[in-house]
Amino acid sequence: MPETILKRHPIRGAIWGLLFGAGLGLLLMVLSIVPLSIPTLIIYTAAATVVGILWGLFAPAKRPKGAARVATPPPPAPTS
Amino acid sequence: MRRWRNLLLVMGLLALIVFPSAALAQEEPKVDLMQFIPEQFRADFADRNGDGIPDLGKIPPEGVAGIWDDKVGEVTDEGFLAAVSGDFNPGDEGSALTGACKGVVISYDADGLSVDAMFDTGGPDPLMDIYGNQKMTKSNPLEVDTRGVLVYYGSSQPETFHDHRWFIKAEGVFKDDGGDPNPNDKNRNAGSVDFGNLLPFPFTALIQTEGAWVDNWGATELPEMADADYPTPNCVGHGWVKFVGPSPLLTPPGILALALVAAGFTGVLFNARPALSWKE
Repeated sequence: MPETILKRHPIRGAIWGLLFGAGLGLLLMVLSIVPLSIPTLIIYTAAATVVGILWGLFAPAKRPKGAARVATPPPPAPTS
Repeated sequence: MRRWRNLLLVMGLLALIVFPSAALAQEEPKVDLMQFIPEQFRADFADRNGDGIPDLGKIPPEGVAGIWDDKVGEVTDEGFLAAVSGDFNPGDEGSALTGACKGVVISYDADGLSVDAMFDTGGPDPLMDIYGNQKMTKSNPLEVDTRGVLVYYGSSQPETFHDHRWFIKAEGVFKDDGGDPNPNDKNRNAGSVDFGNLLPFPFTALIQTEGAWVDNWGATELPEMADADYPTPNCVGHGWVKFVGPSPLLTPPGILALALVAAGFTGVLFNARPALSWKE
């Protein structure tokens, strides 16, 4: 049975979460759904950054790409 | 079954769109704002769109500036952020204007057609719109077109302020302050603010505002403090302003917000998920 290793991406999650949170906060303000306020924007950004980190750590993992490499047995030693 | 459901949905949406505008159209003005406009200028303020608010023929001149008025504004990012922050309470959905101040504010779009208006009679009543509703609340904010003009007339009669200072602040957007020794005993002022010229680009937002105007304060800048802490006579107020204009998503902040949401969502979904890989 070929083995797999799990790679987590908390930093990527933080960066993309930060962008998403800032954009979502700004979008809600532009649409006048929430009042324009710098503290509110910071709260949205910080919350989305934390969610992004958690997503990068604990989200369901993507399956490995391609087929597993099957270890080939070493060739038999030549006999003389 | 599905056809009926879709029909109901469409009818519900149509009702949402049609009925609020119909209800608004039925509202009759209870106050004639022409009474605030001097007779010789009334020809420039004919009501062209029939909403009961005088429209604008030509832009009136800016109000007379006081000698302590801030003509430069903040020059650093830190200074700007400090100036536009304050003790705003987002839970306060109401509005107030205390003291002797009275006057009228009318906002116009880029074509000079009225967008919104409010007035205060200087008594204990709050700021009102021409339909008799309290104005500048979160649910009935003063609408201001970021491509248009705002015209105002204000007075402190029967008081006359001397060595007075004032400030006005809109959270996250702007702060302005000033004052004047007022040796000529002026107690009223009128003018206009051309947002189309002042703002670098149009935007839309709901914003909390506050301001104060205090008699006999002197040349130093007026700080933000609790209403009761200002010396009397004074005028202190707060409320909500909604900046309106083109479609929100077509403004530069709207485009930036959409781009950030799209990039962030795509990145979180496809670039930040943990991944399994085959062990070498």
